[in-house]
Amino acid sequence: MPPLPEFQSAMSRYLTSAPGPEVPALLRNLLPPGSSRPDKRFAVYKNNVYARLVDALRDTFPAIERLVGEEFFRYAAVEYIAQTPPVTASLLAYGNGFPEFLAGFPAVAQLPYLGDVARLELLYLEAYHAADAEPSGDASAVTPDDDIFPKLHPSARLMTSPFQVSRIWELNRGAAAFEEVALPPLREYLLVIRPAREVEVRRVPFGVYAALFAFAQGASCAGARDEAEWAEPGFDFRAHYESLARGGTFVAGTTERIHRS
Amino acid sequence: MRAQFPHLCDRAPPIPAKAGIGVKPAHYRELLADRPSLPFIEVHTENYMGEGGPPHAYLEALAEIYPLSFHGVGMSLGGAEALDRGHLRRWRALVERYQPALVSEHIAWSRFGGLALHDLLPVPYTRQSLGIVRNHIDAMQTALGRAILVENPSTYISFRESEIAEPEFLVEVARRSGCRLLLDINNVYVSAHNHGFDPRNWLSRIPGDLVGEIHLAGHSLIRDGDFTIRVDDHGSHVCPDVWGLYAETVARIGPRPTLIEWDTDVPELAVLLEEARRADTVAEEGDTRHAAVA
Repeated sequence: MPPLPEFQSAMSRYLTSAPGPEVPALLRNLLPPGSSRPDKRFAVYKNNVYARLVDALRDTFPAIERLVGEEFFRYAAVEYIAQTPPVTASLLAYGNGFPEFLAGFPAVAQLPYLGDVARLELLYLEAYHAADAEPSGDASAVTPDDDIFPKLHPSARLMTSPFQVSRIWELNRGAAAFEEVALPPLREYLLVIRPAREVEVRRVPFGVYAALFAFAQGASCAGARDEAEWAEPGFDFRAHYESLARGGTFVAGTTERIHRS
Repeated sequence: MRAQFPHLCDRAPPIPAKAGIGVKPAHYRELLADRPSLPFIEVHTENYMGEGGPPHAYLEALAEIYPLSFHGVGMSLGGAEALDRGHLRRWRALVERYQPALVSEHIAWSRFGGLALHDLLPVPYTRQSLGIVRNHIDAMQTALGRAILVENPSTYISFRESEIAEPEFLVEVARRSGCRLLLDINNVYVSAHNHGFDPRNWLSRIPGDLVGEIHLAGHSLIRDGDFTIRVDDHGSHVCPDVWGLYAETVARIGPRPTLIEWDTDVPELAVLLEEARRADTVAEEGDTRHAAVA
């Protein structure tokens, strides 16, 4: 018997290698003499590992599975797992490289929006598990004074895509009948956020996206307004800011004033 | 050694020796609305390692109604490497937050060389493994500040190097680390078939005072010509033979908090509740025999 680390190293490599019937001799030789069907026995472990990881990806990317079909999804998932086995004991965040994998997967090159739909599903999951925080409710928090630094809700995630990903995602969330829909490429700016129990996916104008992006970097209202006005000349910062604040975008009690001497 | 964690039972009231169920997200709302009578509910600790959101909101609400059991599947107590400190920290934070009545893990490994394999992998039963498992249980119990239960695995391979039989390995681990055992009777049945041993004889070698919880679940049978292997997939009803072994175990050691595990092809909540009630009935019959003998 090789020492325990050698066995566990060989077994780890076997379990995360691409599915196949071959069991390395080092592993087969560990079994007692006369042990029946070593290949079948080891295969149970490998099947367990792959089945659990494919299920984890299916749970996180249901719209992708609906778009490409169960069988193709399984094929893509197995390819991804063999390339990117998990590294953490909790599977909650497994698959964070799957959007990028799909975007570069030659077999789905004719579906260029797939990677971005997967990215949206991943952000949805991140927002779902993000830390809880009470959105700001008081009047001062909805007034965009130049020198306050609004803090985004910890669940807030931003993304943009040249495709109408939120529409594609909405159409493929449930089990409704398939229909053909023409969605010409049109850039979307999205805020994914969970101010209360439910995760919301909001389409926002470019100016709002620019302001939110600035807030995420720690900008003050003055800084965010500059960004928003650059993005969208004539942007009504006050109106949009108030609407964001009422929608639970910012966290209570975290706006800070600059103390000027 | 066991006096090392005398506060084990002080943290939460002891769980009655009745059958509870493993909780799945699909059943959160129904459980909270109907509040069926259950002695406890069990969750996989790893599923609550997100920072916030609905999983914690639901678990908080459920913890108001039911005692909790935290069952870990990723600590890798049989791993040749040191335990994952980050994982231990997250575990401890959850135990501090929810104060579960029971805490358990497995005699298995699932992590090596930076990979997390997400299966409960078998450990050769050698003196070397015994030392490793004992040290890891020590580390986990120290981090959590309480004794844990460890579960016997279902296995599909055995090792020519194993020097200690499985029941004696478990008993020795418990005696040396001060932990107790979570006896999974379906796992004993599955392994007995896969390796050709007698599950009754196996069970008779576990002293009752070491058993803190019992698990029951369904499994599947894979057939290839003459070769059959039982796979512990937690995806069906408990089989008649396992009910029989459960009754015999309760007759021998008395009733214990018992869990119905159903993790794949999860049925309606009503099916799980019915399975738990059946476990109570079987245990009551077994307990009558236990009382008659005692």
